[in-house]
Amino acid sequence: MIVGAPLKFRILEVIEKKPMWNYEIVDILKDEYHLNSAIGRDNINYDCIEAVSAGFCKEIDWAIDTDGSKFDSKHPGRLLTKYELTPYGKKTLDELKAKVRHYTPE
Amino acid sequence: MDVKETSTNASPGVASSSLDEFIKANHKKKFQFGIIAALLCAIYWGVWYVPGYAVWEMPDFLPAVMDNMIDAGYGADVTYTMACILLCLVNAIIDTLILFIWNGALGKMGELKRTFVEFKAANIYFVYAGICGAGAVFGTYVAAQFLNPGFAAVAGVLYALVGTIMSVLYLHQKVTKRGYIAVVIMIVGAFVLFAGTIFGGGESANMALGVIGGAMCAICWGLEGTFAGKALDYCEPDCGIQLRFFWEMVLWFIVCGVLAITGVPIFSTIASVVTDPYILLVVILLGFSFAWCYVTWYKSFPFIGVARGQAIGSLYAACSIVFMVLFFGVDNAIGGHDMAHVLPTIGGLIICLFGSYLIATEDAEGLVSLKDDSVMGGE
Repeated sequence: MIVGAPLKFRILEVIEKKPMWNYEIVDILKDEYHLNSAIGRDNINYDCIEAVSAGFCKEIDWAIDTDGSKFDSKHPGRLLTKYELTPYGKKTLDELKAKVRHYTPE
Repeated sequence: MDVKETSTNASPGVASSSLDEFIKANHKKKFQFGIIAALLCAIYWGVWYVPGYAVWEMPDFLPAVMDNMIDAGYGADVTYTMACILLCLVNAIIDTLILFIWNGALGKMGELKRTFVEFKAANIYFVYAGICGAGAVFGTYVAAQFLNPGFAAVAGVLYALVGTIMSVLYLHQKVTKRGYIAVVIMIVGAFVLFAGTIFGGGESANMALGVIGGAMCAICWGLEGTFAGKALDYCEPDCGIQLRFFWEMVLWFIVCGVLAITGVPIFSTIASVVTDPYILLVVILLGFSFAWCYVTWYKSFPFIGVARGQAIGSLYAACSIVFMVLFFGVDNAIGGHDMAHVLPTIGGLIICLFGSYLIATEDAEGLVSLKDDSVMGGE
């Protein structure tokens, strides 16, 4: 596991094992990175979107959070997205694991 | 990404077609966010020319340090070049301070620390970006002085061409035929925009230095965008830009330190930045406009790619003309108020706007991922 590295490193690592929805990624990382506020949640979500732009992961499924129970209770109706690591993302993650200061194989 | 692969998990009552539309709207929103960020970058960059011009008119700061260096026996060209270095240092310091407050307000100090300490994996790219950025800003001043401001602005716009080539070759980002055409149109627009200043700018003070400055400006800014684009794949833009200015500041401290040790009175008027309220105000305005220009520039890259971000950012040339006319008058901004100066300016503005229109109306669906499919693997 990568420890103490920028958020995007961990996002890639979290979805390495299996594809995940954005709210699942937020649930895992918000405590680890002390991002429990609404801004923190949106930061994690933005980083997921940027990871798609970078080609590290791709969107494989979508749903609408009609009642706001999954992602944002104050603003129901937001788009939920499921992400999967691409082979390019996997290759990049392996390179990052070799470069970071603290990586322990699980 | 083909959105027709749609969800099997759509919420009850939500028809598949409406989900498709929702997804497309979401992708379009992301693209529009990137376009707006790049446009804001162009506006802030254009605004920056106002304090950037005014700071040379503050007699107790740069003119005074140049007088001191001339008194110490240095020639006019060397003196001006060293004054540029001092201004680059002051600009980098104020940007670093402003961005530090910015990151604190956004609650990103933790992420900033994590990005800083991961030197090999993340921070190193911002060292490269800082060095390239330093070269570009310095090159602009040199080109503006030794050829003319119009040439400097056009040389600056050429960075979009360097950035586009590098983003395709090094970052493997997608650039459509429409994107390439738009970049070329915007560079042509910038040439037309400054035609009056370039051809009516008088004799060059030192042609060789001016050309080197112009080339530094285009190449270094293009390369900076490329390194930043690479780093922003892994890092937060707000933290990234803070580190880029931090490293630029370190570089200029070293350069100015070496000059001071060798006896150049480069710091002889530095105290006036904090003791004279007018100079302080101009320096703060310089920092705010440049820091936010860079924040928005870096924020646009992950959403629309380096080539588009830089091409729309190159509208700064048009914005700078508008703000310079507003604050300093037509003659100072475009070199004269006759038709030979005004018509190319208006023509250039229209051409630049057409180029940015071509980019802003690109199909957002093809740009969900900015990477070329050939590097993604398994596609």
